[in-house]
Amino acid sequence: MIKEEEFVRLIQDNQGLIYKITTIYSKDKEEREDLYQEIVYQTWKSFDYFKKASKPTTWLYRVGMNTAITHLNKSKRRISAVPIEDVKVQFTESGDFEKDEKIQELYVQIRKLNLLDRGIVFLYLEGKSYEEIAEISGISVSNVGTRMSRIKQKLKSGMKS
Amino acid sequence: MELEEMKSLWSDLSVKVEKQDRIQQGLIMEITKQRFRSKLNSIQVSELIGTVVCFAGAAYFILNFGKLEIWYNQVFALINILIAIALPLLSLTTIRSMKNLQIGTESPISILKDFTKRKLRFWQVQRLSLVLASVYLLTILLPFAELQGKSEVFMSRSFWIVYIPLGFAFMLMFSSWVWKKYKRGIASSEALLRELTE
Repeated sequence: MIKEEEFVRLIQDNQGLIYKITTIYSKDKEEREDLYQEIVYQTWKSFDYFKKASKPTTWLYRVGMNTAITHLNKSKRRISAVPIEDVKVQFTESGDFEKDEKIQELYVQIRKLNLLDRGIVFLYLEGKSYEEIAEISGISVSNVGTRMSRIKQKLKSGMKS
Repeated sequence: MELEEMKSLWSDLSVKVEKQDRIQQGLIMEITKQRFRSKLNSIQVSELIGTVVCFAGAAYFILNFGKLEIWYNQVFALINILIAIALPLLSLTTIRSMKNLQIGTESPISILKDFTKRKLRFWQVQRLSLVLASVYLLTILLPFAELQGKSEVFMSRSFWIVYIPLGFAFMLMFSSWVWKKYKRGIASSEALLRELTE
């Protein structure tokens, strides 16, 4: 029972983080809900490792990204989300038309990147340092730097066109 | 838009997301339980049916092997038995290997590399399966007809003029479609691996 309570608290405390991962990795609402639920499920499945993790948030970032990578990379994927109409987590529009348009454009450009680069830019936007990005993603700090400058170029040229 | 501007937009969004209502406790557990059940179901349906069909085919030839009198039908039946046992085992092993990833312990780069390598292996196995399945279809006809006491089917002209060419045409079309699909799958997995190791 304690495990269940701890798990629920972890999801509740980080529901925004999970939701943001789903927006980076999925193209529509249906896919987003499916991925959200898959991340919740995989977090439960690997929950015993959570207790051993030195940094819980780092662990959750990893589980979220790993789930997105493997779930969306499958050749035959069936959307099997259970209806969760009660979930109100979503990016509400700001009312600022120009800002909302820029956000949508940002999503479009990020989704054009490969699965790993999407995760790297997500961590960057989350305000993580190159060292933290390297720790979470499992690549070297210098590789993060190289990838980030490539990503910046791609996003810049994408946003211009 | 500069990346710093994107970062600031993202930060505004994060604030909004954090202000959203908390997902209910019951709903989190409901999602987890339903997901667990749906995974069990999908394993049963897709993996078990194929295996049962193949094993049933193999069992049929094993049980009736003694009734085959013509030597080449015995050879064909033997090939059929081996393929019907090897095919599902091969597929099950690669599918299982793709499912057994350590999401809770590995880093995204290791997961991605590992997953892509396993996927590549999966495509290669699927391609091999296609070849084996074609051999299976070719070799099943004669021993099956002998066991059913209908060897005379092969003497009729319509069998050779209509059924065999039609069967081959269908098999050729289907194989080339599936082959292209597998080739694309292998190419995209290889490209992703190359990109990751750059």
